[in-house]
Amino acid sequence: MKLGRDEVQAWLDEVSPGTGSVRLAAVADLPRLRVKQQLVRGNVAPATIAAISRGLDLDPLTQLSRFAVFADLVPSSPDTGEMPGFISSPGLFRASAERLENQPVTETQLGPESYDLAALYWFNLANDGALRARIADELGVNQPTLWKMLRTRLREDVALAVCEHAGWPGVSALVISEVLTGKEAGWAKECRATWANSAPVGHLLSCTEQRLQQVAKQERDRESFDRHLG
Amino acid sequence: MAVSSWVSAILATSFLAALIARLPRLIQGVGNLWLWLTHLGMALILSLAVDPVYEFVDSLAGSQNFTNLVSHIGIALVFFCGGIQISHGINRPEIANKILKLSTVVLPASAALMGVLFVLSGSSYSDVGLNAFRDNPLVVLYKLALYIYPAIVSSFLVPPLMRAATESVSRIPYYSKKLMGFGFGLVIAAPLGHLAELANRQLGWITDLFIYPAILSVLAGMTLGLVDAVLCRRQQRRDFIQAS
Repeated sequence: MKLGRDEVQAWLDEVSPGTGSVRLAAVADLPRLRVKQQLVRGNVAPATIAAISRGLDLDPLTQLSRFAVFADLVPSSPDTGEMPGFISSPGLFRASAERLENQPVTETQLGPESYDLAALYWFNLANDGALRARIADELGVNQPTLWKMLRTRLREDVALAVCEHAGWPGVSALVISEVLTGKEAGWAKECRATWANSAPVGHLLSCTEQRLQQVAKQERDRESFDRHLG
Repeated sequence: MAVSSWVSAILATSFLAALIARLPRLIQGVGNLWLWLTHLGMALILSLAVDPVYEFVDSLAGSQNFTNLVSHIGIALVFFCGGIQISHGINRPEIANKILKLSTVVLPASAALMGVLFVLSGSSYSDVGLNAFRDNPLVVLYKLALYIYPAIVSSFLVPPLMRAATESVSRIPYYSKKLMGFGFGLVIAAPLGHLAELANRQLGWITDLFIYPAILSVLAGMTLGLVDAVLCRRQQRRDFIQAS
């Protein structure tokens, strides 16, 4: 998902008038060539806007919401339904173990909010069977492309469509797309730990069970593949 | 040498290279003997499709094209071993059992059918691929019979391979399974070439259009399996060093 030249130029004129692409790349801590190419082609990634905003000491979400496509986004913690998606597998397993031992779960035990395959697990939480078809119909994203996105980085427009489908806050899309951090998205302090401590144990175990099944299948498939074809 | 001989020579060399690449892991005891033997079988079978090699080997067997029959039966055995191995590779042991059960009947029946058609076709002198005798419909039927068993095994493998590819979370297994699925899909389509040849003798080349890309795709898919296993092992070693 890219933002158009006119919109970005108008924004740049306002937040940092007269600043060249080299200086913008420096403040955003991004490669010069990438910033220059995106600005010249009029294909600016939301992550670039967020990085420039950070470099200019501006709130990335406020700045992104000035673009039409993100205008509706407001700061919000994740919905309870999507919360497991922002917790890594070891974090989720640890949380279940702690709750079973009647111990409080801390935020650090849950691991980083961004981790390998986070997009895939998050997507699976929203997938009621009709989601893939909806994404294909609405955004024209075919299955192989979606497959790649779910295993690398989910495109912002696809993530927004997932949020809309599941009724989750749109700002979560920018977190799962690695544009914003949870803090920048307006997550309440330690909201993941709060959820892990307040969710009924049965529900937490059910979420953990689902994740465990997915991870176990991935590991079994990988082991079989390597053992028999390696 | 004919073009098909050159293509076979290149593919045989590729299988030989894969065979050598897999040898260190086999020696270390972490490789897969059955898969290695499958590669060896393919390397030998493809070598026998090269004119000079075929003529030499067949001359040792009386220049009656028995080498062709042996290589045909060898292909069926390669599909038997490879099919079972790949089924396990995608964590589908039930498909391996299905191939095993099917093979107890269809493999000997297919070999017997090829044997009967080979004897009835009565080729009188050594010729690689029996190309000189393709005017005889029995020869085309004999060549068609070769694909019965491989096509059945391939039909068992294509849908699970494609599904397994979709479920893969890593890139290399994804492409490996896709390539193998594509290759086995071409094997299912390959007999159409010989059916077309039965209708028009000039269309014998169609089969080659299917079968050589099929062999290449499956080989590439299996080689990616080796690449993934080696990379995984390195990563595990690196993680272990970091952790300790």
